[in-house]
Amino acid sequence: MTMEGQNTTTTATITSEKPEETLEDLRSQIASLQSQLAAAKAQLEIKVPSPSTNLPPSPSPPLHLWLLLADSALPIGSFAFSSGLESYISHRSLRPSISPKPTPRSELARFLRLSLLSVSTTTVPFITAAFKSPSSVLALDDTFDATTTCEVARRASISQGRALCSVWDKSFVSSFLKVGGGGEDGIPTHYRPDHFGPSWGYITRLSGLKDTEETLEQVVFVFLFNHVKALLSAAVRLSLIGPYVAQQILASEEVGRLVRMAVERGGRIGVEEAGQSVPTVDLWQGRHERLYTRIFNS
Amino acid sequence: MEPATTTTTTSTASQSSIPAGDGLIHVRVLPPSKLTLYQLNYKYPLKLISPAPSQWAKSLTVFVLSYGGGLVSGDEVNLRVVVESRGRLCLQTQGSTKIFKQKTPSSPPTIQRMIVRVQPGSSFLLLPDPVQPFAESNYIQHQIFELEDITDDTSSIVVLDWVTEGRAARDEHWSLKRFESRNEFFGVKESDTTTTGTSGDGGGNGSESVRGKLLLRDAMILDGEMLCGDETLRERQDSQTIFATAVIRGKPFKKLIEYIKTRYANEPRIGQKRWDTDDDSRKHNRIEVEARNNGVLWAASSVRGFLLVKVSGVEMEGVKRFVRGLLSEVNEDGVPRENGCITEEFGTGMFRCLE
Repeated sequence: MTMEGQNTTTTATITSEKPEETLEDLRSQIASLQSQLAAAKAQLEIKVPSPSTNLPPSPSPPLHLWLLLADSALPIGSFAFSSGLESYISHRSLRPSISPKPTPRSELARFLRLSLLSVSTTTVPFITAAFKSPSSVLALDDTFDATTTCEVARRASISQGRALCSVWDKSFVSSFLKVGGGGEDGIPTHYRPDHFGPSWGYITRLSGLKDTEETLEQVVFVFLFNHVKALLSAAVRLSLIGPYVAQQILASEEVGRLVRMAVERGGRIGVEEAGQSVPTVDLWQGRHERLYTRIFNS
Repeated sequence: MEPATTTTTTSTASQSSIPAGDGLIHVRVLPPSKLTLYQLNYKYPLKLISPAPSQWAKSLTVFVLSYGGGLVSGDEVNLRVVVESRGRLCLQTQGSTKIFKQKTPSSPPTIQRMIVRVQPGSSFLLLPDPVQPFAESNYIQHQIFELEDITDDTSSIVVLDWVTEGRAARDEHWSLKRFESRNEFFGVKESDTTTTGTSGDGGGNGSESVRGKLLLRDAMILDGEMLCGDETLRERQDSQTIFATAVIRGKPFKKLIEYIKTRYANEPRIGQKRWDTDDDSRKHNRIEVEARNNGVLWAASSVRGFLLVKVSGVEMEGVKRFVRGLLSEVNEDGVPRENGCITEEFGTGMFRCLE
């Protein structure tokens, strides 16, 4: 079993070195990827059913991966966090009334914008850095830990980061691990960062995504889009909007634009330049603990 | 070094040999326990003033000033501070640090850097007036605190960093171009000599590659040129006109840290009926109620060995009073604790900028 695995890996590397757009090539590429997978599994000493060779071509690995990572059923518990929305709404109602009174929907839209801005300058730089240099992810994770000074935000980030790593270990590693194991890229696969941002960058990289500008943008886009989804889902449960409006907002051109802007903004910021750009977010989120009643953990 | 008097070794020669905007404050304790300013150098636009301490002063105070009471674009201040073992140093200002507008879009920003080395058994207090960035100003502040003893926590600090919206009287409300403030706390070994006591060494460019272990970084970046949706920076700040951050660490401040944590835990809960008329309100601290009435919002976090407090408010005086109350450990009637940690450690008169 092990010997076979070794042999197929060699062929796989050769074929993948000359990618041509013919169907034949694509098929052989898929076959080689499958054998590569088998090899990786063999190395992990996991028994796998031998892949049948006559399957129809599966969607390209990124699409498959994105569908998994963007799934709201991904068991990392994002539904338990509102990223400060719950506290924000509670604090807004304490303010002296202003006219015209903002609607729940407009309050939500505002928070969404501020939250995306804040995440883009605090977390996105660390996603980018972890994706680009996965071997230094633990140092990045520690720096992020030192930089995230809001206790509530820390708990939310650590909880989701650790959960993402366990989903990787328990569910994804057997299918997606495409790097490391002493391979030429030399990416260590055994690190388990605590925080959500660094682990997102690291895990997506371990999944075999290439270190290109375009892929990196997708990595960050999916992260931020997930963030928006979690906020909207929290908003529905806080009865600010209904589920149809939530989908309407999610589908809107504006959300797409906001997320793209956040991707772009965060991509320009280095880890050393990261910082809080919406100071009130830290206060609202920090004060979440002081809410008399609360549904969410952040 | 032999005479045990409080003198400085400042000489005109060393003054002229250091780069513009550089400064050095070096506190040394001579036996048996004489606090001295071993070195005090500075060059325009930075100005350091050290009032002669009274004989029994617990700490030395140095005022950090700028000529004309403000900094213009292109001004660059690099201040190095060393507090040797058993030293006590308090840095204050005399009025807010005004940041004037950037002359032209291509002019360099105004920069203030400070590197503070806190040796084991010494304490450092930074209680300045707020930074006041005027319209169209471009400001970068980078403060690095190197703590030598984080095992027993005897390198102790209380740091306050705060910023206001600008000149409200001139209708400046967060009309700045860019504001960046970064406070970094490192655990360093005695041997990591990024700071030496020699004069003329004042120019820390803050870019040394290795500086021990990063313990905490608090960074705030305000971008006045960016719109978020259609919201300007002023709108994003949500009618808050002032933001303050306090960072506290070290054994001498244990009680202060406990006090702040307890107060935060006892904050009236948000959304608990009407907290000010509720029967429950008697249980609530009067000062908390007052803070809420003054539009003060605050949160405390225990992070990696530090206590970090964030305060914001709609008006300056309310925030000042609140921060002063926190740091002087006032009781429910607003009376400061008699031997509050800061007074105990540094002596009286430390809260000048909060009055």
